[in-house]
Amino acid sequence: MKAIALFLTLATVLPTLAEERPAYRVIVHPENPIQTVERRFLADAFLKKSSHWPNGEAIRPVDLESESSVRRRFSQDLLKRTTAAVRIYWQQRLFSGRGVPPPELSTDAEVVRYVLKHRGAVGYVAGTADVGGAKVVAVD
Amino acid sequence: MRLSFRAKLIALVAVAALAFLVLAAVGTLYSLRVRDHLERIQALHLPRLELGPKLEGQVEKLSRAFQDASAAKDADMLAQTVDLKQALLDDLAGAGRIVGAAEAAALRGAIEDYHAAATGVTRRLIAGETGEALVDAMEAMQGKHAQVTAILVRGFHVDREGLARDFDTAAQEQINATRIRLLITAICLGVVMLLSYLIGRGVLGSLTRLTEGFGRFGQGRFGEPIPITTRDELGEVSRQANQMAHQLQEAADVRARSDWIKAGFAGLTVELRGELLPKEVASRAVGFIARYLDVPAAALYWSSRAGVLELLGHHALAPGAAGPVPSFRPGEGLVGQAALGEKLMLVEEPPADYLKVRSGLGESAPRAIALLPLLRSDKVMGVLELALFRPWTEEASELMLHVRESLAIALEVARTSAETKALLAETQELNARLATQEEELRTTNEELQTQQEELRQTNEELTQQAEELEVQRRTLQEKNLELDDARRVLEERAKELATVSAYKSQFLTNMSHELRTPLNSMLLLSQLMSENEEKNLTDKQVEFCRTIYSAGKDLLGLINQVLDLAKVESGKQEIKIERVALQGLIERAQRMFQPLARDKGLTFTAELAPGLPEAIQSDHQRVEQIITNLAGNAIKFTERGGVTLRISGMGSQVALAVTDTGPGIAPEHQGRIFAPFEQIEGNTDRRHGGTGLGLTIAKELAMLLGGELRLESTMGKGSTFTCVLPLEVPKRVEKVVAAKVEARPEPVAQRTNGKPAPPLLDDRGGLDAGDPCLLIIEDDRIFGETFAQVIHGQGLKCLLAADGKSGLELARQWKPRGIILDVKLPDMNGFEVMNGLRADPATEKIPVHFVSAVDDSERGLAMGAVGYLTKPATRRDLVRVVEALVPKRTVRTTRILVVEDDVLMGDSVVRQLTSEGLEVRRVAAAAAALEALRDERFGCMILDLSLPDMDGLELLEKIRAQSGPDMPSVVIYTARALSKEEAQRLQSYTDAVVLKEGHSAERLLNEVRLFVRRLKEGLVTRPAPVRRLHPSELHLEGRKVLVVDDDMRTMYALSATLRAKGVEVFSADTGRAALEVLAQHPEVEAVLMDIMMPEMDGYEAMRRIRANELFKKLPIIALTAKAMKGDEEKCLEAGASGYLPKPIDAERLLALLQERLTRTGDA
Repeated sequence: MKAIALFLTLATVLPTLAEERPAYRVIVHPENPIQTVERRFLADAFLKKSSHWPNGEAIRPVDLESESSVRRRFSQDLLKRTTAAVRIYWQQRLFSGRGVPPPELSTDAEVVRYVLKHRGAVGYVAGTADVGGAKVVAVD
Repeated sequence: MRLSFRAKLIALVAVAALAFLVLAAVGTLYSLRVRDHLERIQALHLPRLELGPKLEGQVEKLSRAFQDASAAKDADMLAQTVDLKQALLDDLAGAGRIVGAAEAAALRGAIEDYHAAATGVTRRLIAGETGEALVDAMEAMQGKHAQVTAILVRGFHVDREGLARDFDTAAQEQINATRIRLLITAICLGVVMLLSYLIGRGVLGSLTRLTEGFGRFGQGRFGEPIPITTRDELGEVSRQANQMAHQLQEAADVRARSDWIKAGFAGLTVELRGELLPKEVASRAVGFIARYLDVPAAALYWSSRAGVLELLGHHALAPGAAGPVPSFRPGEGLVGQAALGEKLMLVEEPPADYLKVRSGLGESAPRAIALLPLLRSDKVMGVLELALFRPWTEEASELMLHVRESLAIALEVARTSAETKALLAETQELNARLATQEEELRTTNEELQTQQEELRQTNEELTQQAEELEVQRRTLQEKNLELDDARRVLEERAKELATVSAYKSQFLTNMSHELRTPLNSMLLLSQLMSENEEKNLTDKQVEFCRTIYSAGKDLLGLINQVLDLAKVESGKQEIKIERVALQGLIERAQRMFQPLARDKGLTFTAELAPGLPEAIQSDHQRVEQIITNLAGNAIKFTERGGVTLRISGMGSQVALAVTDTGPGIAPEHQGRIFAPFEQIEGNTDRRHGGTGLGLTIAKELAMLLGGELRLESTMGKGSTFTCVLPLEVPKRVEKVVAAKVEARPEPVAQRTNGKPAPPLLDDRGGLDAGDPCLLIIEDDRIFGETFAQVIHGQGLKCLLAADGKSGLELARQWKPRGIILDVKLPDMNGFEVMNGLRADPATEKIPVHFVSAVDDSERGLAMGAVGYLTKPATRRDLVRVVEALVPKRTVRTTRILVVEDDVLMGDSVVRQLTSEGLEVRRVAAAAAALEALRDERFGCMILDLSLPDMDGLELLEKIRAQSGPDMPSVVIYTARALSKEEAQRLQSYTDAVVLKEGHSAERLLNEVRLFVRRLKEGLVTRPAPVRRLHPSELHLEGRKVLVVDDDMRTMYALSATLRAKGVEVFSADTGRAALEVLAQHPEVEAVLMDIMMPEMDGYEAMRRIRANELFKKLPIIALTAKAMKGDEEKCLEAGASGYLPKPIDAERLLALLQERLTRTGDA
């Protein structure tokens, strides 16, 4: 009885905890006027199916390294596929000349730096990470 | 057009062939050019189609190898990419000749670069490198890949535009070739058509001209030749045609000249036809020749007998000084000169003053003169001279030479004929004079001859007439002789026939007598025995007796039928025409045959077809006899099924058909079936009794009634006998006694409903007791009253009763002398009435006669009726009924018959007699008198001897023959003085003769009164009626009866019958013996007298018996087998008091005997 009561309690409490502390945050260059971004737009940007922001700036996505848990969570949530699947996707496109993958960076700080460096960049960092001057946008 | 047809046609064909050659050449040229284009396409573009995709596929394969290697992070796999690259480069080695060496080298370099870059990137990936530098390397590698792709797309893919261009060029070439061919074809066609048209036009023109030319030649216009416009074959034809036309023209000219000459010759011949004088011949000949040759003047000189040429005729030459010279000698002048030669002489250009042809307007000299000697038998007979204005023509001279001989002959003939004519005229004059004299002589001679001829003819006619007369006289004599012979032969034949007929008649009579006599005894004895009164016979024996009796009866029937047949065949059968109701026939047949058929297990139906008249006019009795015979026959021969009688119409005839389901009659027997005594042998085996006469009689009767009998039969199925009768018997049957059918007026009483029936018209009121009267019991009022009239006619009174009850009452009250009884009465039937009468002692002895439409005579007679008459009845029948009830002898009447042809005299006599209270009937003629006497009764007759149709004496004889002992008294009332002989003859008939004079009427009346008184005093007592008695009623014991018969069998049978009743019998075998017996035994009370006997017959015997005063009242009953008409009368006349026909019915005999004996006892 106690175990069931505990499970019920966890089931109701955990989602609430996750919402309050997101696993990652999406960041863009501070001059990017966008406030919220649609999940599908974000997915297309990272798979390079969309190439420009609404204001005409070229999109420059940037990934964390493939072993990162944040990246795994991000792929799962936004791209709706595993990191491995994303890698195969890019290998197919790479040698047939149809496109190159976003650069993979090892740390959140490198990602923030890359975002602040390129006006059209977009990236993600862990929820706890310092975004510096980058602009965090809400994913809708 | 100077060319021949052949050349033109060859040119045409050559043009066409050239055109085809050009066409073929152009076609071939363009085909080659198109092929060049297509080859270029094949060489240039097709290899690229293969090479480009192949290289692309290999590049793709190379990139996949890199991908796989990076995915697997395997360096070995990366090494394999070198092999792939090398294979790609090897393939590329041969591509130089396709895309050019420069392109191939560029592609080679690009591939090497891409391979190097890709290898680098892959190595870095395998090494796990990440970051922006790697991404830059990747982008560089992708640039190389894009370069490879660009070179492949640019140089190694199909040049689409080039290909399309080359195809367009080839198609354009094709279109150009087609256009050029079309153009060349059109030009060639144009040229060929133009050539054809030109050639055709030339030929057509030539042909048209030829046709026209031939047309002209056909019409005879040879002068206009066909124009020759060409030198070709048609030109040649035209030329030949023209030549032909020319020849035809020449032939026509020759013929025209010949015709002209012939016409001239013929014209001259026509001109000289007929009997002409030489001068006429000459002038006509000259005129004709001048006209025909159109010469202005001509003259003809003819050598005379003296040899001088004289002018015989001329034309258009004026006489006178300047005229023609009248004569020439031979050798003198031109004429004379011409006469010396034989040839035609032509003098051209004579001198101007030589000869002038003159007309009213002027004169001119001819241009030439022609002199033609006329030859006959090479001898010059004359000269014809012609003056010419025109040149002399060949034809003219030819004509002249032709003509001259005939002209000479004509002139010669004319001259000769003129001379002959002159001689002939002289001879004719002499002849004429001779002829006149001869004519006169001939006339005289002819007159003489004519006279002589006439004389001769007259003589001949006379002779001929005399001969004819002689011949006629002889013929007449011969004919007369022949006629005499024929007449004698006929007379002999007639006599023979009459004798034969008489023999036959006599034979039949005797035969029937001889047959009936033994039969009589047989019947009597067998009947007697069957009664078995002495009870000494066994039942079997009684049965035998009955059989004998019935066989005898059958035999009797046969004899009767034979007699009937004989009568019919000899034409003695009388028929009486009356109304025969068809429904009645049906009913009668049903009544008669239904029981018979039922007994035999058969059905019998009788039916009447619709649409028939109610009745026919025929002899009722005979018709019934036919039906009886046919139906009886049918039932007899039918074992199963039934018999049908059907009466139906057949146009104006009625068919009585009797159909049975019997054995039928074979066709071969059908003819024989109507012969007498025929039955079909074999299958019927004569097992049916009967005579075989029935059908024969039926047939004869049918013929007698003007009809016929037919038979249709099928073996085993049955037969149909059809009797066809006319609706009315034709008048040809001479023996027909037209029965006076009672005209029955419509029953008035029945028609006027509601009115009470008027009282019966009878004599109830004026009837005294004892007056002889008859009672009629009859519900049919009309019939009753008719009957009453008949009775009144018999001088009797009568009573009428309409029903049985009143009839019985009247009978008791008035005791009539006889009763006429109908069977169908409203309250009871006639038989019951009869029983009622017999039951009452007051009426039991009154004789009764049935008269009814119901035929049940057997029952009626069995009840003791005197007779039975079947309606419809004739007046004669009714008279007979009255006679049977009240014989004439028994009742005398005071009715008087006046036979007087003078109306005034008759009326006055009738008035006087009527005023005396007497009943009078007046007739004006003898025939009417006879009829009245036959049908009515009169006490007295007043007779005028002078009657219109018969002498009085003759009438009296007839009356005696007709009436016999019933003849009334006669008073002769006549204005005629009678001779002594007449008076004597009258004595035997009459006792009073009154002459018509002064007071004769008074004397006549006295005579009549005397007669009436005598009559009333001598009234005979009425006789008791004959009736049948029951055997138990017979009281004959001890009576003495004499039986007279020569036949011992009859004698024995009668004696036995009588002795059985206790009668004492005396016998005699002849009339003479009978007289002797009577003399010895005067106590004999009655005599039975046979008629046919040897020595003395029955008539004589009876007369002798009556002659004896002692035996005046002795009852004598005559017995005779001659059941012929008149027998009974003869017997009664001879003195018999009764009569019985043979064979004798024992019961009847005994009853009659009893009655007679009782009566004499009473008297």
